[in-house]
Amino acid sequence: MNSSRRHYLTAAAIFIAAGWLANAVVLPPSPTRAAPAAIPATALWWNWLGGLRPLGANFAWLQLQGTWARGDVAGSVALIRLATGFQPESLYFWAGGVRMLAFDLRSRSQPGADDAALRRAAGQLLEEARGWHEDNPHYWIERAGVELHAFGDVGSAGESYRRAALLPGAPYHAARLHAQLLVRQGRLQEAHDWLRRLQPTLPPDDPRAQAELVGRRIRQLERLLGRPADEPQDEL
Amino acid sequence: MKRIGLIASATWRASRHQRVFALTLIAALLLVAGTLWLRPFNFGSSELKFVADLGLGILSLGGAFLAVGVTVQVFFDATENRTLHLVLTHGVRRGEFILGQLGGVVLLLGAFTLPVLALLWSLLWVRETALLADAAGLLDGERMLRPGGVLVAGMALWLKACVLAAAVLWLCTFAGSRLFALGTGFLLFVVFHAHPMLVLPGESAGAVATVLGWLLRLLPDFTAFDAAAAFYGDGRDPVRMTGYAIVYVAAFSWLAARQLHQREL
Repeated sequence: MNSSRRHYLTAAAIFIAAGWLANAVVLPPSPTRAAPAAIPATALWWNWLGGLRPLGANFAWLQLQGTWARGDVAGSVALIRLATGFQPESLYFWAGGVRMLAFDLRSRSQPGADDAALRRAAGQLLEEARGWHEDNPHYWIERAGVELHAFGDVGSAGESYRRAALLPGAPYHAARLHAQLLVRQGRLQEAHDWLRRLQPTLPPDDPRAQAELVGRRIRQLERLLGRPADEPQDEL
Repeated sequence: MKRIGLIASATWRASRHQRVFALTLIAALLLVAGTLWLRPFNFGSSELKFVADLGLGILSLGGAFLAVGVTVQVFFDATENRTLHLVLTHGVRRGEFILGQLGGVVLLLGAFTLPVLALLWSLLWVRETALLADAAGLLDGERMLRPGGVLVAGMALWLKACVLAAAVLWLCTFAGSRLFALGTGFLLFVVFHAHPMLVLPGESAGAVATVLGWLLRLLPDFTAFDAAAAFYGDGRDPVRMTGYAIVYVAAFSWLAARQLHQREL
């Protein structure tokens, strides 16, 4: 083996050993970090900007107000993608972008604009946001609102409110709205069981928890069901 | 050790008088001070987080600019002015020369990081005090800024710049021109930040892509030096972070010293 080849082989061996030592032993990947598969590749390309990413996101957001006001769908979608790509860890840009696509642009866009395409784009954005905010109850509440009011999908909206209610830090109204949407689907027994499980967890002295309202709804459901319902089987 | 110290000292003296250092430092200080005027743009985050993120971003980019620019400058100056040849004829080993040059650049990066970080902390302190006074009675008055977090954030950015400087120094040992070394150095900065995207090919990827993915996994991961997370006390363990940087600095220095043996002087 000539010296040049030996030099390159030794260099490669050192590089492999150092890379393994650093990335697998000294500082293994953080378990709290989002799985790479769930992160859009475009978002990662902006990592090198570090703390300057929020500035880029804010400028894209300001530009977006102009394209949105003109009803320019393609321009708005591109700027929403830019803003969420720059700062995907902020729910603000995801939620605002989805609302624009699902509600505002549908009413502002030029005649002939494809309504179904806007809904698809909003749904796709919601799904991408999930990769970053799956553990955030406000993401699920936002999602439920869009599913309910823009897509008219009561079942999915109810499920999203349920997922929000089960996460730590969820506002109390997510659980109540899940029950309401179960009622709207005619699933009275499930709504009753859900509220029965919820009631003991509500602090009576916190007005946001609306413990009395939940009690009233349980009684209404029992009247509708025509009998006192069975005890719930599962814990909330 | 003494020879390494002498070369580091000479590199530090030469590089701190370079215009690029003074201009980068002044620009970074002005930009960090300017973040106060950008406060109204904090759409996606709180005001203090926005200012902190911007300040740390400026510090990161400025550090990278110096790590690439100054390293290329000092190395090519030494080869073109024949300082390297002179030093080698006096019995200095190539590894000692590389470590000495890197030591000087590392000192310079520290001299850049400290004043910018101090200014950022002062601005945040002033704004936090004002915000707490405005919200008196509504909040418990507890400060969000922690001196430890600020120091770890500064250390993370300094370590990241040191790893980049070591990688660029290795690059210089086989680069034919300054322009190539500068361009590739900045490219490395971008690629090292995209580490999470490079490492794992999809499940349907072929054997070549999988092997390539595992090889790319060996590159430094600059997202490990997350200054913003460190700033809020949520970053990686500083000791492990330092160890991570040391492993790569040692590997790149060793590779640079070996490559310098191959280089025609």
